[in-house]
Amino acid sequence: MRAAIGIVALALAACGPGSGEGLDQNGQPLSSGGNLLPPVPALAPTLASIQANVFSVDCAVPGCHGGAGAQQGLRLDPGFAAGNLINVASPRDANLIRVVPGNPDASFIIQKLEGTQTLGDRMPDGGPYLPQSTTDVIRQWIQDGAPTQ
Amino acid sequence: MKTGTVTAATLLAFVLLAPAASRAEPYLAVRTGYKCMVCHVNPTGGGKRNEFGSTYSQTELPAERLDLRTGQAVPAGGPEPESWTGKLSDQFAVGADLRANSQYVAVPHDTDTFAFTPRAQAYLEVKPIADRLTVYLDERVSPGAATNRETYAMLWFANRTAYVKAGRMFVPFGLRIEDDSAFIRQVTGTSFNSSDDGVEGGLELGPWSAQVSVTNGAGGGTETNRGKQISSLLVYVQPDWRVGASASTNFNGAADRRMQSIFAGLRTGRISWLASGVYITDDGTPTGRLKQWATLVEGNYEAAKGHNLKLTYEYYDPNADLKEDQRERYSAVWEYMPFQFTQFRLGARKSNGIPQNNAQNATELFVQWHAFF
Repeated sequence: MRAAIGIVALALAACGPGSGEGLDQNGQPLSSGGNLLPPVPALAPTLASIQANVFSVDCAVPGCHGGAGAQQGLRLDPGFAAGNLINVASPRDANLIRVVPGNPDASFIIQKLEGTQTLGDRMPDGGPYLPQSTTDVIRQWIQDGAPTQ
Repeated sequence: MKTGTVTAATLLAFVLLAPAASRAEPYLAVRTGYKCMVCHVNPTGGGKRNEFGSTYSQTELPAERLDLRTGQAVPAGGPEPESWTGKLSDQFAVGADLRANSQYVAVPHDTDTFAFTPRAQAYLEVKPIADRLTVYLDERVSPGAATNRETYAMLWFANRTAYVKAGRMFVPFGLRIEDDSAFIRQVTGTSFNSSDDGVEGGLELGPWSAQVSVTNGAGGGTETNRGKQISSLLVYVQPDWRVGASASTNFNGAADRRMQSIFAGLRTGRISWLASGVYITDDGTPTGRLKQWATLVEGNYEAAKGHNLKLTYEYYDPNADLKEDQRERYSAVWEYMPFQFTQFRLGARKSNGIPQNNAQNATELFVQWHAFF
């Protein structure tokens, strides 16, 4: 019994957080994940445009937010994004609403895209991340009330 | 050195090795030597307490008992006061959990936040046929709009040694502690916020508990393909200790997730220990196969009746192929139950992660009033 407790104590002492050396803010290698995706010139502040140019391209991929096993139940395939985003709380914290129509700053999706979130990692997970010009269009869509048409 | 001295020194070491939490209920099962189903309607634990569980929480957990009719303390050696278990009739019973939480979070180089974050669940248990058929409803009623956590029908047979249930449920996986923000819960996605639709079968044979579920694997969302999540849980329970193992696979044809978990509980005097490790592999991610693992070690010290000191250490490696990205979290929570239906929690959590990520290095303080029946 004493030995077991001693082993546990030693194991804990041997652990510790990573130094972050060679990693970006989200713990991804600087060489591979610290860059940004190219801007999308034709992007418009509509759900259809964001779906076609951002969600379907960068988010709704297998293992992430595509398909039935989408992470956190947040499926972003065409036809699913609005129902999973607008006024929907994160399953990890009911106070974090993914999209608050009219209030991009309070929308969890913006925090996740810009890396200002207090829960989880910046998205897309591991980068490359969306350029501010793309996020600004999503902000505008939310500011406009997040219309679905 | 005496064992008590060693354990006390270890607890002290937890605090001193770094700044310091969490809240959990499986420690009560370890402390009593009970299976989850002894106290909960759900055989895998969590949610509404059954008649025995409710009575136990009123008679064994609080520092003192109040007479439910007068509100006055019952003197030691006095007549046994009544309990109220939420039972409305032989067929209907209700229950609820309200956690009024106030939380202060300090993130380095960022604005501190202080927030009130109440959470509440309401439970309804209907038993059309005693000891055979149960229809169960678990609804989160706050914050925000009501959302369903569990809705299922459960049929017991073979003298209550086997059951099958169907509907919406928490998938059976790993150690079901109450703290959804613990790494082992957060990383696996098996929390009280992520139920799924499907069927579950279980066996309760002597010291063994076994469950297997097949669910959509869509976290309760719309299912559009044939891929399914299969989860299993096996636990061996003894009066002073228990061990368990769990495995889960979620496949949809393009991306697979596999999870394994082992866990254990041990009671040494007034301390109930919990330990758990999970290992996860994700295939089909943009960066290929992702391997991650997380662990938890927790000690619960019953300082006196109605008082519990919970110290927790957690470790998380979000990518086993990357160096220097690991995270850890220390927690210290004092839980005080002055009388029936009421518990107060005072806690602190310190997270340590890579220095360039402020959120991974947050400090959290909270006070919680947990009212339940």
